[in-house]
Amino acid sequence: MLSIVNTIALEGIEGTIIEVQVDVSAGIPHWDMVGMLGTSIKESKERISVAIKNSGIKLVGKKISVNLAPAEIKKEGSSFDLAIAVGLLINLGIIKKENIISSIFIGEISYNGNINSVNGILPMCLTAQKHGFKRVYIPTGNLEEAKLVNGLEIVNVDSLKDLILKINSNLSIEKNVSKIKENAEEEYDIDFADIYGQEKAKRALEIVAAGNHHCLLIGAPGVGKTMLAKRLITIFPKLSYDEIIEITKINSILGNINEGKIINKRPFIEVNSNITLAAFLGGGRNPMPGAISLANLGVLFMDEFAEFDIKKLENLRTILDSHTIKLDRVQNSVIYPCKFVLIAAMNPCPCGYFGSQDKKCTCSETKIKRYLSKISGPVLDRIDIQLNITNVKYSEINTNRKLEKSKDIRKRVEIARQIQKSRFINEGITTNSEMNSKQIKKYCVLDLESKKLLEKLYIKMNFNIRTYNNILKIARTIADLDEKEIIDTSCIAEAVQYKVDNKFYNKGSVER
Amino acid sequence: MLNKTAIAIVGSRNCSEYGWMQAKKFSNALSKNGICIISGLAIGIDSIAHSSAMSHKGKTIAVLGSGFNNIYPKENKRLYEKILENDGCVISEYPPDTKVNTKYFPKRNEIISALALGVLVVEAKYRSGSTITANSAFKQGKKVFAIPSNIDSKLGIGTNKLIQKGAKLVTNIQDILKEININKCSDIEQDWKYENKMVPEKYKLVYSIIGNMPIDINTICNRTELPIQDVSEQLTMLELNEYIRVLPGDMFVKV
Repeated sequence: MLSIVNTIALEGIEGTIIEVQVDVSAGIPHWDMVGMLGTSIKESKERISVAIKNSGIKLVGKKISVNLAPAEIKKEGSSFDLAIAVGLLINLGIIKKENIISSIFIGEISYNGNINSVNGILPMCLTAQKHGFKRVYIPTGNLEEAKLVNGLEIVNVDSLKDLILKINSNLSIEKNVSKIKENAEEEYDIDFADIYGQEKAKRALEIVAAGNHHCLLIGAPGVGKTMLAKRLITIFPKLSYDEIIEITKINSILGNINEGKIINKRPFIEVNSNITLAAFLGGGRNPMPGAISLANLGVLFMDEFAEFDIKKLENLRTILDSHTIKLDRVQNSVIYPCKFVLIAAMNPCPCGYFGSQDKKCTCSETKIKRYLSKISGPVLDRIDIQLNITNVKYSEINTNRKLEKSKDIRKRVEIARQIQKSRFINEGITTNSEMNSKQIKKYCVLDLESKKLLEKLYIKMNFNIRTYNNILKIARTIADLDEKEIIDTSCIAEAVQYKVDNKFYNKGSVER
Repeated sequence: MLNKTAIAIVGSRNCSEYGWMQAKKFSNALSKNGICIISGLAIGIDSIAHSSAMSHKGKTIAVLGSGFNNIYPKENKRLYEKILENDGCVISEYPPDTKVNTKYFPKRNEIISALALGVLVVEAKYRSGSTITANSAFKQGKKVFAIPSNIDSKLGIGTNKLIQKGAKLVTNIQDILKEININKCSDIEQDWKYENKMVPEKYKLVYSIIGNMPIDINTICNRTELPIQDVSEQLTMLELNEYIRVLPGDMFVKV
């Protein structure tokens, strides 16, 4: 007799419905499985047969044949166990066929009959929902994660016995409604109010958050580059439901969701220069997301930016443009999202003190040039804001100036984001940093005075067309923060301050 | 060329902005008055002394502490070629392939002072190459001039000590010209006036905070108690209209 049970295979974060066809007939006792299976699936017959025996069910010598269709998709992982077991139980007459209509089964079976949790439950449940399935059977350990998905009947099972009981009792379950609070105020133990002084850096990060601009922090060791970068996520707009799903999805396939805790904060991923290319971009035989995808919708912080090898930095170019990464393998290729804000930090020179007033730099000009030349122009093109961080003076610590809370900064950021969203409604983008040159021309409208100012600045400060475009983008974000329709001179003049560029680096050279 | 009236300008390699400006000013003005500038082709004060002498078609002499095939530091290879192109002179007492060696430098410094009528020390740390040059000038009976520095500055210790030892404190080039018995001085007066620029009213507050010592934007913001966006805006406008200048590390000084 043939029985058909549905489950899901993942390729990256995209799922495909897999039909598990189990046929049991009389013949020489034998168990055969086909359908381009990875090692862990081939082993599943051992797990299933032992688990069925340990659950008190007799599996007398039969010829068992299992096919996982479509056969051209490569299948990996242990989440197919449950579906195969159900197919078998139907054949044995323990479960009724009618009770599993429009159901998906996901889970790994252990020898004692318990159902173990698996990675990737969230994208699987989303696939089930997309394909119109009514019910999913999942391991109890994955329950919280599955509950993010609306409109599915979610049944959690502890063991094979529990599963049989639940299927046969044909219980009716209500459709799940996600309890995730949208736009909830997250709890952070860090805040912008922790930072004394650094007014310029704080303002710059406000612009970064408002326009999703990438940012390069340059400063001597210990001036607070990391501290500033870490606080950026506290002023980003609050997470929407879709964004929570998106972030949790990536973590789900990596198995980063511990004890069903849903990820409801924007990620802050810190990488240092000795990270491998595979861990950075994503990789493996069965491609898994890397740091750049983990930082999706959050912040990727690259400390000691100039120490990263060329290969990683040049890969960054395409990533910053496309917001996705495609990992190609012989049998399949996987696409992961990686739309993050890049915060790169570096010292101004190898010794770290060039331009500092507190300590003298000991590097030669050639040494500094070599250090900086590692970051190519095309990479710098894509980093809109460049910022010098200076040391905090004691007078700044001991000041009456009110330290602004992240909460208040975020309010302004959210208004600016709203303005951008409605402006770009027909453009397919959401933030100023994504504008191409055509869109810059269309949306960065200058009044006459600021046009003149920009012309003067262009000549005086030796801009090139790329800095010109970057400045316009930043000025647009500043205008949005001030809720101005048209970019005026003050926006342009402020935007220019967020360019370090060539004036920074010419120590001792004659042309200074 | 070696018979020309010549003044040596020496100073720290790792000079401050102040030293840089003064070296430029003095070298410029001296060469406008037909005086040849001698220095040691090092980076910092030496480089600016050579190049600003040449900027007004003045003559300059560089004395090396290595052979001609090993210009030190490498960055100044171009400056070396420029001096030769501009009919300048480069002197070395070593065979062409001699590698640079710090023990040759004191010897080189003695040659610098010997070739000049006087030595102008712009910025020097305590016991540095520049003070060696000045001391050999004392021994050779040459004039020593020093530009005074901020007494808190490390780079001022050497020059201020030299003044105590009898070097002449100079504040403009006439101080130098008088000592070497040149009485006519071509019109360069305006460079030395401490002019107060007319800054538009709305930028006055920020401008008043910026002085000759480099200051960073956060301090300006803190002292003026203005919002940071206004300070940023005004700094750009001040820079554009050349009231202030930006230095490496985002520091601002008056022009």
